[in-house]
Amino acid sequence: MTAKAERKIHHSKYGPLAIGTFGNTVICIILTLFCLICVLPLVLVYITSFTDELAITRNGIGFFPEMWSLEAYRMLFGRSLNKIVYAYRTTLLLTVFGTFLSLWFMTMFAYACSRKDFKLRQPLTFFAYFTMLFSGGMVASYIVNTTMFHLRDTFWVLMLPGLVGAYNIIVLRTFFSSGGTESLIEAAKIDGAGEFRIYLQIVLPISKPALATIGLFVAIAYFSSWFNVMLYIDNERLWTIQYMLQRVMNQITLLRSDPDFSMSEEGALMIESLPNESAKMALTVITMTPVLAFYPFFQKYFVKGLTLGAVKG
Amino acid sequence: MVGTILAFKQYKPRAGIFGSQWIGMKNFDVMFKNSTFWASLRNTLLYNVVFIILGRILPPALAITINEVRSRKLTRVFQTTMIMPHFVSYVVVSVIVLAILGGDNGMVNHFLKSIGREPIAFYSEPSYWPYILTLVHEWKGLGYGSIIYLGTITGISDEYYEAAVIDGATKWQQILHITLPFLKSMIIILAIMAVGSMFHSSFDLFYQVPNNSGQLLKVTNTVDVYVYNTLKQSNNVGLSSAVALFQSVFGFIFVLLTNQIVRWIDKDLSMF
Amino acid sequence: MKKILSLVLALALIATCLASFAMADIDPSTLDPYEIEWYTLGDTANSEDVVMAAINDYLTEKFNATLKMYKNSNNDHLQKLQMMVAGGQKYDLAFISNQYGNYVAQEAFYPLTDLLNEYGQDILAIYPKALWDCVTIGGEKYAIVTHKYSCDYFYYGISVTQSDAVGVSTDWVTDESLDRDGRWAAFLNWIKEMKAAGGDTNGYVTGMGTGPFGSLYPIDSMTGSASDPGAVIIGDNSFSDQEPNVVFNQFATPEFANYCAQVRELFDLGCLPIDPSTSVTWANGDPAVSTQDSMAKRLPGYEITYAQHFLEYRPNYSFTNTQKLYGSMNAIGADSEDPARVMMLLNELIANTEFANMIFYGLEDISYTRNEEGQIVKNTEEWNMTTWSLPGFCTAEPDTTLPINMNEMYEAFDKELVYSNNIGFVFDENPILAELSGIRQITKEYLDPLTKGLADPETELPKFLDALNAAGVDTVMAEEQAQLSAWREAEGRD
Repeated sequence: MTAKAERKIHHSKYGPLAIGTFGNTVICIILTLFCLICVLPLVLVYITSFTDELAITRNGIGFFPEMWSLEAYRMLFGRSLNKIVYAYRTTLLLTVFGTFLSLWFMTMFAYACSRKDFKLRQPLTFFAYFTMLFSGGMVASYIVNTTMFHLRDTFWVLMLPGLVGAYNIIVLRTFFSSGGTESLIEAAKIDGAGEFRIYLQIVLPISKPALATIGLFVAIAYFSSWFNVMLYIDNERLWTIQYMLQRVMNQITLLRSDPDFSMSEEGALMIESLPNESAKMALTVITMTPVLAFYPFFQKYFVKGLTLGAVKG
Repeated sequence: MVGTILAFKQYKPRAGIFGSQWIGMKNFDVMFKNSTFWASLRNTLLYNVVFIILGRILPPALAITINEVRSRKLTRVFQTTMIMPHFVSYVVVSVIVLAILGGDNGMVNHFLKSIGREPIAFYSEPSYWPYILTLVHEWKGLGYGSIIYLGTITGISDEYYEAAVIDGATKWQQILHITLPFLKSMIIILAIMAVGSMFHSSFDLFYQVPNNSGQLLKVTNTVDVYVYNTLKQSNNVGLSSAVALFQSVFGFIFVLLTNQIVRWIDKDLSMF
Repeated sequence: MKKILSLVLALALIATCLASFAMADIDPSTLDPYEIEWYTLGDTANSEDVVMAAINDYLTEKFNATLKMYKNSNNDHLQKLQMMVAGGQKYDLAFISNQYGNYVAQEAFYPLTDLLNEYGQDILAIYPKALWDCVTIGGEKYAIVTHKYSCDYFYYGISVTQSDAVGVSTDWVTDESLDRDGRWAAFLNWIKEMKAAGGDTNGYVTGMGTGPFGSLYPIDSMTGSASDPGAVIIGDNSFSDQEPNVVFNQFATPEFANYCAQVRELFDLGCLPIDPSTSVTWANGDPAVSTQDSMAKRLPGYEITYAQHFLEYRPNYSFTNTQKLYGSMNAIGADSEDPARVMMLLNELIANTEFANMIFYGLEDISYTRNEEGQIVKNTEEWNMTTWSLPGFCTAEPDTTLPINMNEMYEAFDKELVYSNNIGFVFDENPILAELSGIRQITKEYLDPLTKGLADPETELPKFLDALNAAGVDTVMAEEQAQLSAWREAEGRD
């Protein structure tokens, strides 16, 4: 047995836990194929966003466009600088504060529910999940948010309704209860630490991958929110970037389908080159790129070797 | 939550939620008397079963695979490209699918014509679409969905693996006996939650991607699309609440059932 | 005695005051300042503040009011409006569209008859009767239609350039001796000849489907959607066996069976796209392009876009019905705090060209200029309103996207336009909603393939009709007839 075991232990420069070279090549090939499938349509999206609209009308979308053009981006960004600054401000505030507050509340809830000795554990989890399944619908939410809480046209209506999501809480709870934190908690209790200290100084630091995961989801959700802006907000200073872009997109679609405009001499000339398909693609690109930009920040928590905290003993 | 009462009423906004006329089960009649509704329900359930099963197998498998890649740089590249489909809205996806499968000009038909075969009218042929829609759904969600599992795996301490290697375990054995058990609780909880949404479906997937083509309705009609098509003309709040209530109630019943089953197997793994 | 005298004097004084009140023009100084909130279509643009300031100065001077506009795109706006109405939100003026009947049933709008009589005299004078009929529900008006001739105007642009290139004649388009059916037959023939003479392009005619059918046999659908069975005829050259004001199923007629057969023939000859759900209209190279023009302006835009010479082929006369007119309206919110002021605004917009120009196009040299003919050239980067949604459409000067003699064109066109007999009828779907939803699913499945040649009418049409019957189409039509007859009697339409 020992001889066999010695042969099996790979002494590669990647450390004893790493997979053998053959295995590595195989999975790399499979993964590359998979990623190509993911990426190719996106390459198409990128290319189309830079394609001249007239070429699209003539030839459809493809990988080798007849003519290139920056018109789509120009249209989407052609707003006044003032507005863009406000929109970025709102979006940034919303994303940063929203994610922070959201994680704060959700982890507290989840931590409480993860402790097996917590009496209200089951009812509270049930309650959270119940609200996820049963919602009053859009109209009822609207009525509650506007007439009862008077949140209409304020910053808070963008942040509060989405703050605590049952799905995320349950995932967080699962993270907390697995992974063997119990002995650490026992140890801390023996040392006389209060619940809050345990939460803050022990559980949170260990759960960094969990926080990173859920934090990423929440941040992306806040960053791409525009529907609430459309429903509740009149004040232009509270627009988010996504909403601004959606508006431009809608204007373009509206112009294109307006029979008055499209059928007049002037209109027809304009419509020819009005980015529509290319604008839709450009919108996707603009939405995706900032997320890919802040994704590496979270990514390091998913790459092995950089995690904290082993459970000793 | 109070809004669920709306399902039983004929809503008049000036009267408010509580003042509107109570019409009992009449709103539900519209749903239940209709054979197309049951067909759409069947579609919804079938698709969701497939999605739930695939969703329990593929994302964890992907996460495990990615985790094993030796080069850290490659891992990052894979991870970043993998989540990109998530950000493409279904509207844009429908445009891309159209470009690929469109009659006469789509890429597939172009290719078929060039090798001398007849073009296929995809958007008029229902039999392809369960596969197409499943494929599109997985393409969009697989990468993003594996992140949760990646996060879980990273949380598993190295010591377990080191001990296993010393005992002479192979890679496969390590995965089977260490990684999977840790992932088990996450997989099960997510499965339970997914069961709760079994009566819902992604509206955009089933409405936009098939380009709202009437002939495909037999296989692409789900409860949400059905409601949208019926209520487009009317604006009947009571009706949409009724359907939502139906979806929620039954989803809830299923969750309770599944949770109970899981409890019998292993108390700790259940949700509540 | 003195007491009686002083009492009489006091009464006389009060009487004179009251009398003078009633007779005076609106004196802005007697009115409290009020801000009118208007939810409309458009987008905020660069010169927003400058133009709004000018508008507000004008309004303050006229009747001590100011305006605040919230602009959105069509779909967003209608969704937001739905929420606002459901949530009982207060607003003064809003653009509304086809959901008019439903909203009125929900008591969402302020009744207008009294307001019009007091502050909207100009509107009453300018608008033709049909535009009032279509918004009258239960004897009361709740919205103001955008004044323009919305109608169903479906036609094909036949490319003479391409036709000549392959030697196929297009004389039939202008041949006076042909009647409706003769010309339609000539059109189908022309398609076949083009196919035989030309090569293999993208299906030739992208415009088959329910469009040409609705144009050849004009109907007024009871529910407002032409794909729901249950309609009455409009005009005298529609379905041959039907009486006016009698509800029938337009898909159970010999005309429909004939149409499907004709389309199928074209499909079999390879003249139509194999997968019409994916065919985007206006694919290049099509010798015939179909258009549905809501305002019948017949502008030459597509000649420039496609650089070809087109002839217009109209299958039948153009007509209008309630749904067409509903396409663009404005209504005052039921909870508005000063509806009188809003009516004053509307009256000003509809009566006064200078003010209308300001709302539509902004300010001269800031957001619009004039060309050599004196026509306005608007700049939507500076000021962006969706003009087809605004009242006063025929009051503001037509800009370069419209013909300069727009009003004369409309007057002439209006004489040819056929009006439905039942302008203003709104069908209440709630009694038969269950059957109707079933029927809609069926039409969604069958209608497109049948009218675009994909389905063989020999086998599929009977199935379609049977499915409709099983779903209760007779019940639905009976209900529609009952409501229609009751409405006609109540309104005295006979």
